[in-house]
Amino acid sequence: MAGVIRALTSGPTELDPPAVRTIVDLAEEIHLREPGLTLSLLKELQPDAPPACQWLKAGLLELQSKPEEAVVVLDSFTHLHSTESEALRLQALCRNLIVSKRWPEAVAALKGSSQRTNSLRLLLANEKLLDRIRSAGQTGAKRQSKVAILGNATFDFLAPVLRVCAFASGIDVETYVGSYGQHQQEVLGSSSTLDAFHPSLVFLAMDWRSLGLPEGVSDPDGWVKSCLQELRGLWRQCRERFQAQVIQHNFEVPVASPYGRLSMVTPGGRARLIQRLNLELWTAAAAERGVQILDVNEIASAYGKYHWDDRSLWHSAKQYPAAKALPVLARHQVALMRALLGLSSKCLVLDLDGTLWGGVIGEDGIAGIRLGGSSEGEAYREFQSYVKSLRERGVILAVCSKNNEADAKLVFTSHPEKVLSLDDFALFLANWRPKDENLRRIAQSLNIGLDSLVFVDDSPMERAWIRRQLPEVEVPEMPADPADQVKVLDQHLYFEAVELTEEDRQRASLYQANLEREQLQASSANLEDFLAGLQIRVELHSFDEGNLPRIVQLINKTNQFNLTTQRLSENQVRELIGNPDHYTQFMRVRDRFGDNGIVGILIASRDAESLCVDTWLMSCRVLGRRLEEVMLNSLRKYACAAGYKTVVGLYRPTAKNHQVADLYDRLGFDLIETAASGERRYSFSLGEVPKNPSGFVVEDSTQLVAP
Amino acid sequence: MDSRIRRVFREVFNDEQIEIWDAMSAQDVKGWDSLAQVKLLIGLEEEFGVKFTTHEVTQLTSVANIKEALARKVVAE
Repeated sequence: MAGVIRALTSGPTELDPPAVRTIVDLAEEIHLREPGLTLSLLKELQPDAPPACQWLKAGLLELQSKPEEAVVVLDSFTHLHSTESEALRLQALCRNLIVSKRWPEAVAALKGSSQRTNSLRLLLANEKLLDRIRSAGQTGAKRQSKVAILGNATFDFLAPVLRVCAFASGIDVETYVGSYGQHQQEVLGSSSTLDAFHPSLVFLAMDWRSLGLPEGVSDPDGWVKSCLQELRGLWRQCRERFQAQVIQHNFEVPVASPYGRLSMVTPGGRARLIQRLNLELWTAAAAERGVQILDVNEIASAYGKYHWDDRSLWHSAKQYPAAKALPVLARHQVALMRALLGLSSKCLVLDLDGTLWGGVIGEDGIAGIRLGGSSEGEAYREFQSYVKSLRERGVILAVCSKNNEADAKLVFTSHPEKVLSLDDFALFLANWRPKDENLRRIAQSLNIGLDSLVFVDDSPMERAWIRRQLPEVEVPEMPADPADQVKVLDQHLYFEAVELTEEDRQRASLYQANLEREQLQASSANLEDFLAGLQIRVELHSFDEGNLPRIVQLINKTNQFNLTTQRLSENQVRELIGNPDHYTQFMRVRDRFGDNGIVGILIASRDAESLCVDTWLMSCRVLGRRLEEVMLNSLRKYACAAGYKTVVGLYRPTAKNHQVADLYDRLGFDLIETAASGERRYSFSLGEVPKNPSGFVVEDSTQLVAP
Repeated sequence: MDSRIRRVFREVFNDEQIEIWDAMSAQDVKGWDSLAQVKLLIGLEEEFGVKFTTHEVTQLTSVANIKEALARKVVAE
């Protein structure tokens, strides 16, 4: 035994997955053959021994059905340098937590494990664990989605990988896998199983082989046109039969062509036609409702096309893409799903020393840090440019750094090579507090969830600390070489979006204006003065087609000021436009610091003689300005004019909306009933409509037809 | 090599109790269907860091065959 312990304690502190697996096997051997040794090992292996010892101990404890003790051991160390081994550790941790029925912790461990690895084998094993969590009804997912994957390959592997990757992003996915090559029949004909499944999202995951494209075509224009027509037919059928969102995979341009470059040179060449079709698909999808393109050709190129397509696996099992590439494809699918569901990350929190420049500003000074001017300095400069562009497309930036504030700010005001400047950051926290405290503060000030933050730090210790303290925060494993920072951050697809709205472009300046508003608030004696000083101008309109994208975006991502957290698809919202059974209202707010854009949504539905507010939400940017009164006043005015007797309000509690738990009470509604689920129903008898807060200029063009 | 093959079997069939023996084939294991076959293939390729040829893939029908194919690969590499 002394030998075993000596070998393990003197071994390397880092283990790769094969080493971990060997140790776990060793634990089983010892458990089966040497019960005496088991007992003494459990006694002798100390908590401060290297990871190899902890793995052995945890393995023995698990085999002895002592999951609680195994959890303590597996939770006592981290693999700082091997993400795959770390994924294995979290997997083992999850397995033991499941046995102990400690569900939220098991969920966090499994998410962590699944985020860290792109190994198909590990993800498939994780999916088995997910299955157990799902059977217990304990996924704690933010969203549900029913996903059909249809196409001309087998998806028996893609489906579980997609489920587990989606789960890691907070989406509980149920999958339907189409029969091989039957996508047209299933969508156009009647597939009773697909009907019964009734997907909310359909992946049309055909590959280039399904196009049946010969090396050369005599009528290239006609070919592209008829292909598009066929695909459009499938999209519309999916929309009509299931009201499902459609994600169309575009087509990989195959890498091997007997025609070589002629395949592009010739107007009817295969490569050229697929490129043309791909380009046309973007245009066609933009013109279609609820259809998105997944850029599989680009994903395959980035992966390396010779590895993307495993010909042997295609011939033997109709598997496409290659087994190893499946997790990459699934990550891209999930990133797009996240964007569609409004779950994409919102804020990038950046460390400074070693992240935005080389060296330590507090030690090396302005002249000593590496930013531009050298090859390493150029790498940091390039990363700053990438980050700056993220800000321009609507990602909020914040700084979280252990530094003296004055030292840190100096770089952004006076370094000649800086790309980012101080007003690019919504918050600048340079201090010596633990970083989890600062991240909490950032989320709070911006009024967004911790799960909307991405934390980028070159220090493995800080990353490990945040992962442990705030598992909701996304913490990418950053590379040692600053030249790889752009690539690594880019690969995580944190900020994918379906489209760029005007609000997205202006978001960064919106948050800047918010900080100025806060300063005004600090200098105002009371709320009245502050609001009057803002010179608020409100526009209220009924829903219209032009503002639909922003309306849908708000409905699907607002969590805090949201009375019912009712999510609606673009199609469902479109059906409300001009619908006489509904009163719809969106609110745009301007003030002296700028345009806040569309920040409030209210939907009320006819219910006999009353009007029931089933959706009411407001962006966190404008909370605390009595705008809820303005929104409600408009509803009351029109309801009254249309002859309604009462307005009914609903409140459905969620983990995030307690700040509006007493909204209806504050607004003078009467509580009628409280359901077991916590849902509350309020009523308000219509009469005289109160005045809007003084100093507000309100323009109201909403409409309501009499019942 | 046996314990590594066994590990792959346990993952594929989601059963931590599975033991393997040379003559073991599809008839001996519940759920050893064509899908499981591909899972075995992918698992073995990852565990041993090898790539089977299209012909070899069709031969991996018993534990003995798997061991033989692996022995050829591992020695050759």
